[in-house]
Amino acid sequence: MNAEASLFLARASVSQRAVLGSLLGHVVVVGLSLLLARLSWSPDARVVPQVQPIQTVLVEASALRRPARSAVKPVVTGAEPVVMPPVPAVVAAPPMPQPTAAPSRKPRQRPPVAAAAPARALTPPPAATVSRAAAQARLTAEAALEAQLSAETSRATALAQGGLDEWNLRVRERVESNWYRPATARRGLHCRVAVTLVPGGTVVSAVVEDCNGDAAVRESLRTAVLRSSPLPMPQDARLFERQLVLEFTPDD
Amino acid sequence: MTDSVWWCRQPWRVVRLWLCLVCCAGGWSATATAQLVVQITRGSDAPIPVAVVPFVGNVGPGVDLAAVVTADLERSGRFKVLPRTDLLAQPAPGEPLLWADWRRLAVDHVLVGRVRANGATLAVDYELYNVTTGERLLGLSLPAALPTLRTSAHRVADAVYERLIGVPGAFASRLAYVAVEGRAPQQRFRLVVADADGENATTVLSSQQPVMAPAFSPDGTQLAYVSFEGGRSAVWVQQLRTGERERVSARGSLNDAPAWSPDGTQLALALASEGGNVDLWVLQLAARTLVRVTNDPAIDTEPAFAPDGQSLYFTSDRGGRAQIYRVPLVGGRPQRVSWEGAYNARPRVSPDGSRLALISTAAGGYRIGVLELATGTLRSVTDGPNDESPAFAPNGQWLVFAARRAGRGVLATVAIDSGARTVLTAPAADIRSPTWGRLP
Repeated sequence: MNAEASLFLARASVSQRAVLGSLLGHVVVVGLSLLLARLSWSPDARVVPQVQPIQTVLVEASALRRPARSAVKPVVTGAEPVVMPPVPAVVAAPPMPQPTAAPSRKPRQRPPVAAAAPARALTPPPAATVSRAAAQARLTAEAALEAQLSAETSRATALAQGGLDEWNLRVRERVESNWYRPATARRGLHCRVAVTLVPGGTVVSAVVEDCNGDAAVRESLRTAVLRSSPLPMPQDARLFERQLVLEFTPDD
Repeated sequence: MTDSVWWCRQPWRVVRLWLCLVCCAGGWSATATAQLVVQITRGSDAPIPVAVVPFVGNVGPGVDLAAVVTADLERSGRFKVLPRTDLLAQPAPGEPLLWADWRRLAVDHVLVGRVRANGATLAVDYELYNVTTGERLLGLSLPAALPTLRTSAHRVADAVYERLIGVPGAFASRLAYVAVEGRAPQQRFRLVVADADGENATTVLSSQQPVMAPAFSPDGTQLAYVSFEGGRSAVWVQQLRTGERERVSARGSLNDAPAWSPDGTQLALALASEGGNVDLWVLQLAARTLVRVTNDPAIDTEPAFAPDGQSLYFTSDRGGRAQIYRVPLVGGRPQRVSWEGAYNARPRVSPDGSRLALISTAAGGYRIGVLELATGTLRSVTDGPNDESPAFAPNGQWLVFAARRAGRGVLATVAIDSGARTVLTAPAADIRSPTWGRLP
């Protein structure tokens, strides 16, 4: 979480646009999450049947661990600091005072619904009592949210791990080895080339923009990018971007 | 207490959830708006791969223009030309090119051309294509004539060079040098003018006495040189078109090292009094007036005008050993400009005035060095051990110099940036004092 926070801060300082974008994103996502949490917390009977069938679903052993652990120490969580992932905390909420009376009535009516992936992942062990159904309801909603979040987090983590740097370096090396520098491409030159890629790395367009070089320089830049096609792909395919910007700034 | 205020009872959970969301949303929005920017700070030193298709058109005995262009481009060190035998097709200008084939040959650019009759004379059409983009970069037609077809080919090479390298080519230019045949005292000195590739060598002066230090006028129409005909040194200026010549300085005991001013109206000379002290003077060619520039008991010689015409670079041993100095024409104290190495001599100034070519012992032996005037750094561009007389090509990209091979001087060129070197074909003679000039 710290690494992600610092990554966020570092990236946010890149441009005001990023900051504004992230602020807007926060407001929307926080609002949505509060709304979702509020909805899932509601003891409304209409919601409950949707999650009831979960109890009938076969659960993989690995999926049992987190709910099981949370079941062991529900009491402690009230004082627990904010170090662990939010999952146990959510489960630790006080049990619903009014569990639904008819949990076992409808399971067979809608078994297909139970196949929803996020729900399955957090299904409590079969041993869990029906009285915890409401807690599961909220838990399930938050789990769905978290599944989505974790997908985004994993991307952010990959970024933090330097996957992007690694791709950047390989693209750089490939283009540098293909750039036949004209005599006029010297220190002080600053040119940006917008590159559009398709998965696989094939360059579909290279447009020279913002360039203080002459015709020969522009020619050499386009040729260098096109000669470099296909460009290397990132080792983590999730990092692939269709749009790259190459900045040519010779240092001698 | 109602369920709806759970976040009031457990505010830390809200904080935790919020933190998580901040991180995810922050990462998401930052990556969504900031594109991956790759910084390219270096390039390849490899030559650009190109193809030069044989020019079509039959104009009698002649000149293989594509071969001339090929030799020019390769000599520059900037291009690698596909061997002609590897060509899959030989299209003419205006004909479609099969890009897939050219890409398979791994060339970036293709030059096609044609020679055709143009009334009583000829014309050379040529087109340059970028294989990777399919764009036509050049599509031009040059008036030509049979005797100067080689020059036309050099002009095509110049255009290709400029389009792809960014600075004008200098293939259509001329060299002058002194060829010495025989052994003393039966020596013969010939002053030779040739194309920049060494071809079309023409003797413009032949003498039993030493001839040295030729220098093209800035417009390329005249040659100044030192001749010892009659037993004494004198500086001459010769019209290259007519052969008409004139002695412009025969004073004292030495008349040496003529250097043209950028406007072609003056010659800087090294002149010695009868006492033997050599100093620099400037001769106004029209009025034949002489103005002294240096006055020092040491030897001041080998002047070269700065491109602004306001000062001279020259060799002097006033510091004990030969080094390069600069002095304003209006007078003033000369400033030393070369500091590296025990011996630096015979400066020549690049056309843009940013660097000097000189002879230096800084790296051992007598090598051609390039001194960057802004930084004072000196680097060798040749291997020695007895290289002499460097001169810049009109585009400032190459140097011609005389290297000693098997006991005699040969004509050699070096590309300053790439270091590519060539030895030009020349008659079996001892080659000295090469210099480079533009075509009139």
